[in-house]
Amino acid sequence: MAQAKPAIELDHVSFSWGRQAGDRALDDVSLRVEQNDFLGLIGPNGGGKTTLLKVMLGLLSPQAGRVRIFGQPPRQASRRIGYVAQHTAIDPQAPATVMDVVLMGRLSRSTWASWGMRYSKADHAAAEEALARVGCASFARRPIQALSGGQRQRVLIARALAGEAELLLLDEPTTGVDMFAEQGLIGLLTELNTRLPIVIVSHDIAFVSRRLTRVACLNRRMTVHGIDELTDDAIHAMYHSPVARVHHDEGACPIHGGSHGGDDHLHDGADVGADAGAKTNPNMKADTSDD
Amino acid sequence: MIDFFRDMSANVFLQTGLIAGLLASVACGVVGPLVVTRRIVFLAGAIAHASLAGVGGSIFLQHHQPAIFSWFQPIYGALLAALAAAVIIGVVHDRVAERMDTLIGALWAVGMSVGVMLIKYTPGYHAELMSYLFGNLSMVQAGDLWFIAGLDVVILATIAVMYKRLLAVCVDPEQARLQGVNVLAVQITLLCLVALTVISLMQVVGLILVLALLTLPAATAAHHTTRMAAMMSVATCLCLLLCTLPRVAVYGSRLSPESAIVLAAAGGYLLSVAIRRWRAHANGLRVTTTAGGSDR
Repeated sequence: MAQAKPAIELDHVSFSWGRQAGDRALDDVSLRVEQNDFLGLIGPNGGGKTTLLKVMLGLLSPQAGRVRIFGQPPRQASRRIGYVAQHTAIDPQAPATVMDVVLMGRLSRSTWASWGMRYSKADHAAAEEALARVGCASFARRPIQALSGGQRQRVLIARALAGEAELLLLDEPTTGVDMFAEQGLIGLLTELNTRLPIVIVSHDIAFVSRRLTRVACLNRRMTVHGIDELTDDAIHAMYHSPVARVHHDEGACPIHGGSHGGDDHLHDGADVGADAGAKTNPNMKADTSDD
Repeated sequence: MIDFFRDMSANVFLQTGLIAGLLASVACGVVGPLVVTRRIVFLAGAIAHASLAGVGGSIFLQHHQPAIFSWFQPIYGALLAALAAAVIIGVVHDRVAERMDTLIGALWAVGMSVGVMLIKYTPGYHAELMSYLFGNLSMVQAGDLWFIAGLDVVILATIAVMYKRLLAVCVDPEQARLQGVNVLAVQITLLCLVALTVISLMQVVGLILVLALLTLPAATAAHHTTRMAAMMSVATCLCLLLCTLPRVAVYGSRLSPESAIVLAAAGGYLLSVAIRRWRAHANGLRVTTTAGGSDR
């Protein structure tokens, strides 16, 4: 079970959409995600969060740097990643039941799995087990259009689990999900984190942070903080000051955290995280409107 | 209506026309739901209209080189042009994100213009052109039935083999790509299925009206089903009804049966919208998805 290779390894990754080096979406980003990590990836809109996700998934190739997923190039490893898109990625009018959607996660399990009309019994069993794990077993036959945002998000997580994902990447999982469902979702992810490394992309860290092991701040450049060091200052720097202040942090704190698991630490983290999140939220909105 | 049944026993054209409609219903019933779910109605329209270039090409060649091209019926020309358009549109749709709809719209018009120009360069009056544009069931011949049946077999076999991939690409293309599905190949396959369906429908309702039969029964079926396979079955049944009942109903009158088919399809769709609203109202629910949502 235990693998020596880190789940995600980014070495000095740079990516730009245009030709000029000036408009880099990602600038010299380095990151290691270990087996037991629960990493929050936060940053303002346009900061490169989605670009970085696509680089990890092998949908975009960086101009510079090296990306490895479980020691493999991302294109080869993409089947080992359970990518959980925003629940809005699924057409709400799609003629599919919850089961149909979860079974999609089994497409790449074998050479013949993606051909023909029907999924095998083993595929159905895996899908049912995955639905049970996210607490949606009773929804299997419901049309996907009949579910709430939170339920749909759970179904997408089940799809990743049905595909026997070894790493979960979640993109803004709490968008359009009410507070109650959101807390349930975080509880589920925390439970799944006992077996899988998880990376969760969000611009709202208030709820997530108390469970995270580390937080990566991305605004073209990346700084990684242990959850206990995510201070008001760090977030403020992230969203408001020039990027230079983040550089400064980066020099002082390369990559750390992940080693602490004590209750005291987590408790501290919760307070700091929630506090910082609450303070910065209005600022974040102001920031995006400037862009 | 009684006239229809009385005449049908004597008139072989009525029989072949009716069978052609039934055969084409199968193609349009299974492909329509994929088109509506994948939201490529516009691409299907471009394929249908671009196929006119093949009709023109065939008429042109048959006139100028009758010795070589006597076998090259307009419907074969249309099939070739439709398949070519399907591949071109599939690649353009994938590669050129910017102004994609402009390019597809242009291809739509260019295909038609080429067809019209080639027909202009062929001497004589081409009454059959109208039948390709608007359909003419009385012109369907026995040989055409085998051709349409052959298209049905190819379409059904392809869908049976590719069903899971097609469904995955229609429901969530990004996830399908991450699962290692070649989304472009599936998309081009789907567009080629559309091309075959367009050709099988061409003689039943004509190129201009193909879009209605490809989309309205599928959209109606979507109101009352929650799974792709069920949507295909219901859409096929609707197509079978639509391709027979309106024709029988307007037989003997001055109304064109092809237009009657399309108007009946539209009427059925509106009725279905009304039923759904009424049901939602009766259940005390608000209808959140709008009626025209499926072709948003």
